Amino acid sequence: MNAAADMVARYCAELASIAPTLPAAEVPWIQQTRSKARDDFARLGFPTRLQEAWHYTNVGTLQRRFFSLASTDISIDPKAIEPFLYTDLDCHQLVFVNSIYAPALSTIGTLPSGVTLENLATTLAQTPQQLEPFFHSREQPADHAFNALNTALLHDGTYLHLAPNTQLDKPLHLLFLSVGKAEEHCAQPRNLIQLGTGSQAVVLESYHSLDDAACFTNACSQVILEAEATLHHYKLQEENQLSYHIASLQVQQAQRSHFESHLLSLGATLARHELSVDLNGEGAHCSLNGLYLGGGRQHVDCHTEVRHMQAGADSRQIYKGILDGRARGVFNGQVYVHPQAQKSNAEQSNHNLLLSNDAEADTKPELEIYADDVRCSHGATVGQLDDDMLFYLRSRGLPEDAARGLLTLGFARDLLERMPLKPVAEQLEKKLIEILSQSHGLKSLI
Amino acid sequence: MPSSTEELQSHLRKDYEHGFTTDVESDTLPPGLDEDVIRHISRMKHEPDFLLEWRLEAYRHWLTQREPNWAKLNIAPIDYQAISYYSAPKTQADGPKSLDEVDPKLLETYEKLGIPLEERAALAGVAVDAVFDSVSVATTFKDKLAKEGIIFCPFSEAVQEHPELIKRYLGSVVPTTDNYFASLNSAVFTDGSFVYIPKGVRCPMELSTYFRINAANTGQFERTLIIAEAGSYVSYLEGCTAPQRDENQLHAAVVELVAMEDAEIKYSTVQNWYPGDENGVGGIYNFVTKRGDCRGDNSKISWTQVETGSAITWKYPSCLLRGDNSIGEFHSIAVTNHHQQADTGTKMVHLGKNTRSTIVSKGISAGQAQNIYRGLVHMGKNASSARNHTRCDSLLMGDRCGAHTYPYMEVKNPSARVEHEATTSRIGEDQLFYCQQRGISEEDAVSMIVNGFCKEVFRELPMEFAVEAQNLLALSLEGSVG
Repeated sequence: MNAAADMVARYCAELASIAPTLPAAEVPWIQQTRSKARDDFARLGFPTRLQEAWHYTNVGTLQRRFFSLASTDISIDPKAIEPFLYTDLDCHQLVFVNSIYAPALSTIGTLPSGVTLENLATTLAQTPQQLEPFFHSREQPADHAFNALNTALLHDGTYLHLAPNTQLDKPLHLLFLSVGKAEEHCAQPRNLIQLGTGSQAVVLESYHSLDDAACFTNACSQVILEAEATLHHYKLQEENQLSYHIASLQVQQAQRSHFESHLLSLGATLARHELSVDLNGEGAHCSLNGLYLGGGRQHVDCHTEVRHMQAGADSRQIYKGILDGRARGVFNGQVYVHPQAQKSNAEQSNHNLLLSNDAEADTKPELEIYADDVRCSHGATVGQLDDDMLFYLRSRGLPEDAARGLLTLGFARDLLERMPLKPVAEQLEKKLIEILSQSHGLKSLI
Repeated sequence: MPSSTEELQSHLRKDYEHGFTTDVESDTLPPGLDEDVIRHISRMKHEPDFLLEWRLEAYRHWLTQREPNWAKLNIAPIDYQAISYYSAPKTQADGPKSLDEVDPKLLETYEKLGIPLEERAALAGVAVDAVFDSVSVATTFKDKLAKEGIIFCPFSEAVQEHPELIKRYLGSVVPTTDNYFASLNSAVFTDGSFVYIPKGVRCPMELSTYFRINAANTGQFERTLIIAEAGSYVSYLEGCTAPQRDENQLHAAVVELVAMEDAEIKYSTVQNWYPGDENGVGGIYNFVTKRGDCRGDNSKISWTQVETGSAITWKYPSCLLRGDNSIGEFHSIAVTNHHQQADTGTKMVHLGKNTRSTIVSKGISAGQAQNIYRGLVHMGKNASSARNHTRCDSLLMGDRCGAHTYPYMEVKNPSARVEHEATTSRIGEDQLFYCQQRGISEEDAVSMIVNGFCKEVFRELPMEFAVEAQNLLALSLEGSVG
């Protein structure tokens, strides 16, 4: 326990020492926000399994090592990022190396009027007042240690703002790269997205490692959707098998706004994805989709929290897990319905496929309902591939591992098909086939 | 339905019907708890040394524990030193030999509850081991059971007559260190029921115990132990009602079931303790640890509960499915009204191969009550081909109540299959309209729909209980139109 406290102190000391060098260090409210967050982190420390939200996820190995917070100047060969780009997708592209913006690798096309898109350090330095809605609209949850750690550093990331009734002409691709060769590094990007009334955008976040060193990504994204705004959010997490990936995405939705999320988690030794959506306006709608794969000794943990605060809102969640090797998958979905939120409609489902004898799935779909005129349901299953289906395929001459691979792909494909952005869906499917081919003889079939 | 809220409120205000206190002198220890109190309880009950040591060990462990706070319950602080831990009806000193010797006032209590002991016992063929406060006062049908070799007696009697069984099984399912309330119970339990079914015997009748809390300020600490030897079968019924009272009463019972190879235990509960008045004042605190151990292969334990009473219910009847092919079942109806809070559910721990479990939970919440299902399904590494199906449905009546579901599923074996589904809704206006259109009053329609909602669970109850349970449900929810 003392070692953990020492580590927290070490992070706090480093935060304090680099605080004056951070962008907008001279702006009082930003400086206060950072120091309050640092105090929160010092008080909270790393979460332990005694906390209900971390019951199935142990961050013990993460907190035993120190990941440097200081920004480093790393130049990357543009060729190196090519594998991570979507060739068929015309998009704005912001690239971050260890959460620091890399302008040389980024391409921002001409933006329609009413659209502000820049890296967060620029916003902090030039127009920090624009960021206030993200830090004042709602008290930052002081009970979340990793968010506090991210806020305490608050240095770079993305700022996207759409004026009312504008549309971001092309999808926005945010590419986060981790490099850890010189020093084990902690990347802490912050992405702030605000869509004005009736505006629309598509944002794709992807996280990759450039080498095989262990890195720690602690990402934090915040989304504010005003009335009737629409955001489609994609996230791909494909960091190397030594890395730690902790991420939270918080969404505030006004009336009749629409939020759609697609998550694909493939990498990292420990991955945790938190997604919280507040349906603050009548008729708001959200649809959350997630697919997580684990093999080896990977641990992947998906938390969702949907709060129905006003009447007539709608939420749909579907998360699927495929677990192989000694992997462990965790799903914890919470649906909260406020007493005022009559006529709420909430659906939640989680399905897990266990492919090996040592894989484990823990699932906990929760409903917390305080209004009576609601329709809420959840379902969860854990199991292996259906013997009858396997038999059917084998009776038609498929080798066993190919049959297994095909059925597994079928299980996952459902979620890829839900993605409206076809070039992304296709590229992700190829990736999936490649992963399944390593353990199953799928390649020969396709 | 604009008028329904008012109507609903008037019906929901209905007072507790079974509220009265029998005036019986009690031999009660002064409030407080320390090792001397435990020694005193043990001495009063002429217990062997091993049991006293066991109690003291539990007490010492209890001192190191903290009250659990993970449940979604709002509990007023409990002063454990303000509770008296022993109370026996005075007439018990000589011990009644038959019904005639029982204090007529006690019998009167049962009359008021609509449980004419002898009549019921004779007509229904039910052996009643009635527990009045902490000491049993009447046991029937003992001879008939004795012929089969079945032991069905008050726990304290079993301690005297079958210490070897107690020593062997007590705490083997719920150890003294299990949880805060189980440790407290282990330290201070006064009485309860003991059932032993010998090998291959099918118990010829439903065994039944009526618990009743009486003397004011007396925590009730029951201890029940049921052992079903290989190939045996027993169905055990437990039902409760309690007098109206202003102060919260603590009830921390422990129930242990042991099922050996091919044995089956069916445990049914109807719980209707005083739930507090409509403002949430008073009512029983019900913190119960119930656990069944399917120790042998092909054994089966099923829990059926109808929970309508208590201000606070904290109860998770569980099954440890250790034997291969063993079966665990949990059927529950939990009704909360006014300010009642219930955090209840089950744990199915699958350890053996081909183990199966079924969970059916129906929660009904009205007034300002909170009704919580919390359940764990654990599939261990060796639980190959194990199966679980869970269904929990919640019905909300009124706009200020809550219904919550917290299922935990942990699966460590790929061939195990776990399925969970849950819904939350209210009584549909179209359903009501359909019934009313056919000349059925709104009240009858609600009762019909609620009964239909709970049917799956009622079906699991033994006949005698099913009737009582349906009446209870109607009583608790009369006129609650959502």
